[in-house]
Amino acid sequence: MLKLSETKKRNIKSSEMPRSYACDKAVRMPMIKLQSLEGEVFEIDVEIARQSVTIKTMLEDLGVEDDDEEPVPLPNVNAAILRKVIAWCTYHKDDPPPPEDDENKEKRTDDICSWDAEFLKVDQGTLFELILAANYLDIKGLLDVTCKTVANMIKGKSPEEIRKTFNIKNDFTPAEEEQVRKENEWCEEK
Amino acid sequence: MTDILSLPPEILNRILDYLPLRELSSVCLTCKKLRDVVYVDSVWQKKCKQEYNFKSIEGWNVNYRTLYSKVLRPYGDLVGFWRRDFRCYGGLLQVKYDKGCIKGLEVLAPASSRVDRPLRKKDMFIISITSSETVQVVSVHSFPEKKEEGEEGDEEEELEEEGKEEQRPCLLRVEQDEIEGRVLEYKVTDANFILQKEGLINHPVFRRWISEELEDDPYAEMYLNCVLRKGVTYLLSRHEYRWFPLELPSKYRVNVPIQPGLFKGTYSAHGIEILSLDYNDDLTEVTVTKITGDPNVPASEISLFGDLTSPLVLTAEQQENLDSLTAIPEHHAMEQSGSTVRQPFRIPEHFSDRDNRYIPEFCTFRCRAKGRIAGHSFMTPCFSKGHFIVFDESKFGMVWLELTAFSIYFRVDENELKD
Repeated sequence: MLKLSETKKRNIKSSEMPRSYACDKAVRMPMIKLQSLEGEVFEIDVEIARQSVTIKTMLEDLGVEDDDEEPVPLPNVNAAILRKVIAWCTYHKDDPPPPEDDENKEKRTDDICSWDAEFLKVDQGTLFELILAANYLDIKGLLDVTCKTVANMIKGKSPEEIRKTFNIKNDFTPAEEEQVRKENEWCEEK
Repeated sequence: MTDILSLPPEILNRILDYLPLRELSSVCLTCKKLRDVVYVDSVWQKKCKQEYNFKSIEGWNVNYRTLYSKVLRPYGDLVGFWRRDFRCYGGLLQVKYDKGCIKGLEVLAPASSRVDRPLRKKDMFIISITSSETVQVVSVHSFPEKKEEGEEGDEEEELEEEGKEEQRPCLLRVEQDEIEGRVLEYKVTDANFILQKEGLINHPVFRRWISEELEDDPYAEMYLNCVLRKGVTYLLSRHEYRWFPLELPSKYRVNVPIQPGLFKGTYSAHGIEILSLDYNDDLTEVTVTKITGDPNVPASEISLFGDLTSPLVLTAEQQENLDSLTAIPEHHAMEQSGSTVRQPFRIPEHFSDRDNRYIPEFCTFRCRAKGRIAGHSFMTPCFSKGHFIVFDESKFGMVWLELTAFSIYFRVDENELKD
C-alpha cells in the first residue's frame, strides 16, 4: 500500500459522516478507511464496506486489519461518487445478499424500491459514474439497480428519442440506417 | 462528462439484458457503436437460453441471432409434448432440440404384449436452417425397399429394416383456437405422393406396419383385426394431423401410493397404450387417462380411477377366485387411508391376463376402483368394478372384477422422454 503524505490526508469529522455514524467513539465498531481518487478519506464500518466484493477480497487477501491507519486507495472513484456509493451501501446494509444471476429468469425493471428511485434521481453523468463505480467495486445490488434505471430510460422510446435522451450522434448514412432497419424488421413482428 | 457510449461493453450488455426486442431494435438504430453491441452474438445466446431453453448450437450452421430470429421465434414454442387429435387413437408427439435441428417424433407404445419394453419413437418432421438462412420444414417418411420380382409368393421374406428415407416439405403451424386453445397443425403438402408410394394395399408397407405392431405377440392371430383396422386408419389419415399441448404430470406428491407419470398398459386386443396417472388435489382419487386410445375407449378418456379413501388389505386366500373376492364386505377398510401395506397378490382363478411373466406376488397398496368399458365407438360407456393395485414405483395393475381380467401397467422411464 502506498503511503500518502500527511498533508493530503484529511480525516472526515464524525459530524460530517452519514447520520448513522454520528456515534460515540466509545462504541468500537470495526472500521475501515477508504480513499478516493483525490485523496479524501472516508471511514466506514467494515461490514458496510464488505458489500463491495472488491474491498471484501482485498481485506481477505491482503490481511488488512481493522483500525489500520492505512486507507484502502480507490483511484478509480472520485469523492462525490464514493460518498454516494457509501450512502447506498449504508442504507442497504441489512439487505440479504443478492441472488446469483439466474440465466433463465426474465429480467424485470419495475421492482426498484422507492428509496433507490429517489437516490438515483441524478444527472446522467453521475448515473453512469455510479455504474462504473459499482462495477469496479463489484457491488451487485447497486449495479443492478443503476442498469435497470438506464434500461427504463430506454424503454418505450424510438431511436430518435433515445438519441436525444443520451445525446448520441447518429453516425449512420441513410443507406446504412435503412439496412439496419431491414435487419431488424422481424423484431416488430408478433 | 461520462456518457452512455463510454460504458464498457459488458456493462452495456447488462443494460441490454433488461430490454425487450422492440427496444433492442431501437437501440440498434441509434448509432454504429450501439448497433455493434446489440449484434454481439452472446446477447442472443442468452435470449435463446432464457426464452426458449435452447442450449447447444452444435450442428446449426448459423449464429445465435439468426437462430433466434428465424427459427426460435416461429418454432421454438413447439418444443414439448403434444397429444394428437386423431379419431379414437390419439397419439403422442415429442418435439425437441436435436443436433442442428428441431425434431418432431411420434412416440408409440411398444410392440404388442411387450409392455416392459421402452416406447418406440419415429421421426416425423424436422425444422432446420441452411447456411444461406432459409428455414426448411420437412416431414420424414421411410419406405422399405421393394423386393425383386419373382419373390412374391415367398412366405419367409423379411422386410428391410432400413428403408429409403424421404423428406417432403410440410406445413407446421400453431393456431390459437377460441375454444380449443393452442393447436398444432401439421400437413404434408403433397400427401398424394406419399399415399402413392405407400398405397393402402401396398404390400411391403402394410405388412411392415403389421409386423411392427405385433412383433412376437403370441396372440397375434387373434388380434390381427384390431391392428389391421388401426393400420388402415393411420395410412388413410393423409398425413394431416392436429395436436394439442400436453402437460406431463410431473409434480412430486407426498403421501401417495405411486408417483404420477406416464405409463404403458396392456389392453388385450388393442395392444399396448400410453396413459397418464395423476391425482386430484385433495388426494382422494387416482386417475389414469388415455393418451393413445382404441375404438372402444378413445384417447383422452379416463381409463380407470381408484378411490384412495377405500383401501384394502387382503390375504392370499381372499384372492383365490372371483367369489372370495366379491365376498369382501363393501365397507372393509383400513385404519389409515393412503398408507401402503405390503400384502400378497394373486390373480384369481379363471381370470385372463395377457402375459404371465409380469405378475408379482406382492403389492404395496390396493383400493377399490372403477374402469371404463364401452362398446365399439364408445357406445354405451359405463364403469366396471375393480381393484387398483400398486406393486412398486414402476408398476401398477387393475383387477377387473366384472370382466374377470387383469391389466398391468409399466412406468415410462424418465430417460425415454428426456431431451
